Amino acid sequence: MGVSQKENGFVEGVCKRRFSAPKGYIYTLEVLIAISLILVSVVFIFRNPPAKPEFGISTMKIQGLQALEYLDNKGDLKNLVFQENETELENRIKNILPIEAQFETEICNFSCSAANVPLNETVIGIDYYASGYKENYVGKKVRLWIWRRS
Amino acid sequence: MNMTREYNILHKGMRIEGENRRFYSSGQMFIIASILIVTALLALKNLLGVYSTFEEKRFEETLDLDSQLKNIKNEFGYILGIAALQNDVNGSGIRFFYNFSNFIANDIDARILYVFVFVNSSNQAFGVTTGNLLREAINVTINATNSTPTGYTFIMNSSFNTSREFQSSINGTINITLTYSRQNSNITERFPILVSTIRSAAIFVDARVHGENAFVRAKEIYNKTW
Repeated sequence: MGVSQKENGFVEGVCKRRFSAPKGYIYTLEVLIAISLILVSVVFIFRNPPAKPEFGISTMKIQGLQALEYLDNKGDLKNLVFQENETELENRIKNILPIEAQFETEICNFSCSAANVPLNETVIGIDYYASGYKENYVGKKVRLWIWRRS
Repeated sequence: MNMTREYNILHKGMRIEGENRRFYSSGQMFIIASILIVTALLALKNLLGVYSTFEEKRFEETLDLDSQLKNIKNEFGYILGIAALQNDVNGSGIRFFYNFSNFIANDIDARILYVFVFVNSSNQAFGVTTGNLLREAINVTINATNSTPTGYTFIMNSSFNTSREFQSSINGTINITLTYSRQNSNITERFPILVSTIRSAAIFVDARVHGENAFVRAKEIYNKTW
């Protein structure tokens, strides 16, 4: 009853021949496509390494700030601010900062002139406030621009 | 019979085709899954590694702000010394503290509240000056122990200072209490001053410096007797 051996075998044989190729081939191909797709996208997404911490910049900033703090604790900074002696202030800072650091200082209130500050370098600006010197109220700040010697 | 055979053949054919569909589905599922993973990765691209960078930036910023705040705080103590060297200590103190606070508040994103007290040694009178650079109006109450009057209440707009006079009834330590309301909360600060036959002055400062991602705050009291 039902389907004869011949008919049955014929049908299954045809089907096996028809679908044996896709079974191994296309299946593997699809998996390979899927893996490649993930790999390509992972490479694309993570092609840029994580942003490198700007240790150089922050170290320079700390050095600049500490240089000004040192001069203030020494008693020189307020005096130089009171006298508005930028040249002497720069000489003092030069002796403290590392040789690869370039800098420019300005004694100012609100608007500080950035005349000698390079535009094509990464420049760090540090503000240090000085209220006065001895019995004199001054109310100014020292703006220190610092950048790495190229 | 023929109909049944045909049906069975068709049935078998369908079954086999169905299995192959499942095979196709298995492979396609990988592609669909990969597309979903890729989409998820692309969606999360900006988030990956952002937190650590943000934390690092905030840490560095906090260090910078802290140094700046330390500098500002120290200058308040220095100004007290400058004022003490003037003939008109109270007037000079009021002027210097206001000018300096205003300078800072206009130069950087800083909020400052200060109370300057000068005790005149000759008549046990003392003046209390409050400076508001918090960028908002505040309700202020200043009380002083063993003094007449016992307190003052007033509203202060931002970038203003207000002075009030007290008369002490004792020679000794007077406690100054400052209460102010800000953003629906009452804040109380208390500090002592010395009323005696020698001059004394004190400055209480509450300063906050804001950065892009963080802020630092410090309170300090400086006393001077001479």
